Amino acid sequence: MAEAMDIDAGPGPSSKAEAGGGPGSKSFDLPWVEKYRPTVIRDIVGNKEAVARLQVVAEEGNMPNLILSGPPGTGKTTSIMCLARALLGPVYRYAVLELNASDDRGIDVVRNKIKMFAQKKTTLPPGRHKIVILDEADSMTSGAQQALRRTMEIYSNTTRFALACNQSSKIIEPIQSRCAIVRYSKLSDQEVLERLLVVAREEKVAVMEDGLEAVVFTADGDMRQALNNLQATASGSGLVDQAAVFKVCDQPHPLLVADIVRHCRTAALDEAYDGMRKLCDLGYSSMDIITTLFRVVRNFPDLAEFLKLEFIREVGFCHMRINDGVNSRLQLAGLLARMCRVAVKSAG
Amino acid sequence: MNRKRKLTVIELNSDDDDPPPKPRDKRRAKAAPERRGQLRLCLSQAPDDHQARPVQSSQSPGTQRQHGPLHLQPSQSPDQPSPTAPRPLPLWPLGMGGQAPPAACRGGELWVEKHAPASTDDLVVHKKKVADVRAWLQAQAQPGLARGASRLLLVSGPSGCGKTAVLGVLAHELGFELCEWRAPVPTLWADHLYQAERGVAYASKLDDFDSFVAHAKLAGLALGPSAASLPAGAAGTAVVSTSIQQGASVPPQKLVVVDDLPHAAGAEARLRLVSALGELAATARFPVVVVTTEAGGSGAGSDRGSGGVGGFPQGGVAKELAEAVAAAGAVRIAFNPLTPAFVAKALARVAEAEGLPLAPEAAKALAERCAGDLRAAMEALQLAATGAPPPPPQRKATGARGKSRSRGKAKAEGSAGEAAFTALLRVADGGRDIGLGPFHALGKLLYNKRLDPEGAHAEPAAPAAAEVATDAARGEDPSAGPAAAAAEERSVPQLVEGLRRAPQAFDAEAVVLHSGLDARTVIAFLHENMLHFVAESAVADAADALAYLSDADLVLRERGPGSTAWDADAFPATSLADAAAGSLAARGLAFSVAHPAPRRWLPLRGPAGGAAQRGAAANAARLAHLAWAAGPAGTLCAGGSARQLAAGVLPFARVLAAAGVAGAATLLPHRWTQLWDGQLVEQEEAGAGSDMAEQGFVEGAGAGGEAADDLDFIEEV
Repeated sequence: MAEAMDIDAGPGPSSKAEAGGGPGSKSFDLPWVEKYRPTVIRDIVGNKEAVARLQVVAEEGNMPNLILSGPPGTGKTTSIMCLARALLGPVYRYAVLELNASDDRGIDVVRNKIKMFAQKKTTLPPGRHKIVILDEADSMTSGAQQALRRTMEIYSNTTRFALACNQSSKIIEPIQSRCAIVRYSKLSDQEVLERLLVVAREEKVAVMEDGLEAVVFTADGDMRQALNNLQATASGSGLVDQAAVFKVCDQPHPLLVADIVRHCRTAALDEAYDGMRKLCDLGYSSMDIITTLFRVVRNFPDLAEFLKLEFIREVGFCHMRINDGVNSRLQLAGLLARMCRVAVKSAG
Repeated sequence: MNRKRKLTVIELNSDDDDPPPKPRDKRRAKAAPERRGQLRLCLSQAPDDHQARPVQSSQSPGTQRQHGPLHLQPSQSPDQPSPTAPRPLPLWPLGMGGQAPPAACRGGELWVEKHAPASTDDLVVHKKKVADVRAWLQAQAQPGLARGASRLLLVSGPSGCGKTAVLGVLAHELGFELCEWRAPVPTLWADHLYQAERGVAYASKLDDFDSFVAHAKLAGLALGPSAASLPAGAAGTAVVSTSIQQGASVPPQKLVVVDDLPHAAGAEARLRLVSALGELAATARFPVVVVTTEAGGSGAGSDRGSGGVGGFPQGGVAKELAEAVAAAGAVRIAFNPLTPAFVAKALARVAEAEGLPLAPEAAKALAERCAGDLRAAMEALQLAATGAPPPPPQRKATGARGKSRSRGKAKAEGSAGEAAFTALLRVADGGRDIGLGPFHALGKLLYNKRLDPEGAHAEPAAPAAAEVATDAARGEDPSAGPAAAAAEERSVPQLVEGLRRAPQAFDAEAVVLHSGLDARTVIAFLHENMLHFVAESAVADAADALAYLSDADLVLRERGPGSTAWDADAFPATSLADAAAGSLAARGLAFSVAHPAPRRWLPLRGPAGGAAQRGAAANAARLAHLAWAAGPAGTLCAGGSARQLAAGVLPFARVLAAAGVAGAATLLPHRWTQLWDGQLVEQEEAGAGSDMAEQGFVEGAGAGGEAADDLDFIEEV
């Protein structure tokens, strides 16, 4: 990982072929997620509070043991990397041990490798410590976490730990107790959009406004997803517009789905089913459709509380059936009919 | 049966097969008084019958003692530790912060360590507990400690409640030297696999702990008064003590702390650990304190299988462990979570030392959010202080430490204090996960606050907003657009009166997501607590709400074998069933409770619904252990279900035990978990008469009769 981090993410458009060309010409390109991964803390998008606090830690040193928790694609790993680099700078590669879920992190590795690293002597400026980065720490077994507990305490004078995880409740309590927890939340659409604009400009991608909106929608607050979708669309079709995004991302178009929901609300079953048939004819599986449907219903802006609740219930049941393998079109039609019935019954 | 021998000589043959763990027999505690005399006797005897007497060790306490010192015999001359003598016990001085740091790293310290309590006045633990520990330590310091008395103290409590701090302070005060047992750094398992023939052996931490227990028994560390007062025993013990510690009789008596018990994953390892601890309790010759961390008692925490006590399932080994230790006469002191007032007091002390103006109410808010975990509160405080906006330049007099920081933490009171307070509140969100976060979220759902009714007018105005969305749709799909718009015009029907609600004051999905709980826990929680939040007479509301909750439960039911494993690890929001169920439960409850109970403070309770399953799981684990311990015969059914074990293996083992087959009786599980009045209790096996009920419990109601029939059948045979 240290090597990957050393490739400076300074965007160099000059060295890149023109974006929007044929997909074959840039097959050696880095994923944009890596290429545009921020290297200094202030470049990190979103979660202002958390990032500002890390910035101060980076300036003052004396990093406490940290747990960064939040959904994927919100900048946890990036934050830790930037922090470690800001704190340790040139000695990064000697004073940082990074282990993620792909590394062996069983009990004996914690007892051996991490301990050895903690005992290692390095010369660091005052207020700086060696850093052990445990990415995706919630996938560590509780045994390994137990083994970590005491090590963390014994060597806290020389070594600090930074853990990134999706759910901090999967970290055992003794470790939670030894760490300051920093929470990351999903990025707002605005924040994702701003970053996408920057990347698109650097990469000289031809983007339409609705295309970027579509990317933001599909990403759902996940920056990694957003950049991947943008890159996929850009290299796949050249022009990033709405149709291309949903084609590349292979999700049913949420606006089509929203139409279906809108018809259901007015109990217009025929129209609703037309929309559904169109989606099915486009080749989407029932699971794709139901997933998008759930998200659309949940985020539907002005649906009465009762209707939203009932729709969610019906969608949940339908999802259950589909999950059991009953993924016929009939189920989807039945779902629409039930949603319409709810609308009829609730109408005054 | 030759377990004890294995333990004592573990240094030399720790890598051989693991004998079946055997519950400690209680006679050993009584045998302790003769121990020292026996020791000398044994040393003077010829020890070469070690191989010749395989199974006699349990017959008399006296002969047991032979095997311990056996391997010390070659190094009979006390001044030369022989090469075969056990390696020194890996004990380390236990300062508050562990080892002394290299000078270069002195710059930053964690406040938790920097401000560790220095005297009993600084302790914020309940006085009674402090007095208990002090009494125990004083008794240990007495030269004339009753010979049979155990030298083990088991301190338990949730994390961050001051267990180690109390020990540190009191030991310092009473003149003990704190040492910690630490397992040596092991070889990597992979190295062992590749280089086993070259002698790279892997020792698990349990092995190391066993060897520690074995040493403890040897009185190698019999330190201070007890060794000095008995010069007769010195000849025997000096051999070990020279290799372990120079000058055994130097005044500061050592207090050995075991803070890092080995992780016991499987039933087998657990039993080994339990028996090792029991042995330690019975035979330790120097004061030992075992510190264990318990998971907090919150409903959210206790439902998680993985995060229990030291990796033990809740109520499993922690209890077994306590019992084993108690059976050997050891003292157990359980600490409680700190009260917010105590935490606030400690925080105020730290803030004062750091020159940080901490308003009392800020300290209180932080203290309340940390769920009795002072360490978490201090970590949060330190991070908050680091992240605070640059204060006004005016400084109070700060200590030497305060000056080392580039940003002055000292501020004028008044507005600066306010700033610190808001910063704290922002950070307080970063407190412990288990304590208040989930409770907060769930309380929010249960209290179900709604906005003013006039906000409800927004609903009829919906078409205007929908128009915008429709425009977008039209742009994208020209054919569908107009039709949709037309449909929109036609009617967005008004809901009937009873189904309208004032807008919610919160976003249900966001709350569920923020709570960090999975949907199943949320549902169980809401179910447990919801009735208190519904007005007395509103039965229809309660029925509706329960219907929604049960629907949510149905959506979440166990899916086919393929899918569960696949998304078990997924983030909750990404798994649709989870998200739908959580959303359904939260929204359904909020919607259907139209007549909430009058606002008052209501305590939230953890869900009790899972108790039966947990109890059954605990019993099933015992059965699984039975199959393990039964050896080759047992492995045939080791993969079997609890039903097979209960119906097939258990009766067979009982028949064997009844027939007097050696070892069979010890294999039988001696206690079962029972559900009594909503609480899980553990009971000693009463006798054959109650077996059927217990098995019925393991099996679940349906299979109980069947198992009992089988049992009858086998016993007749």
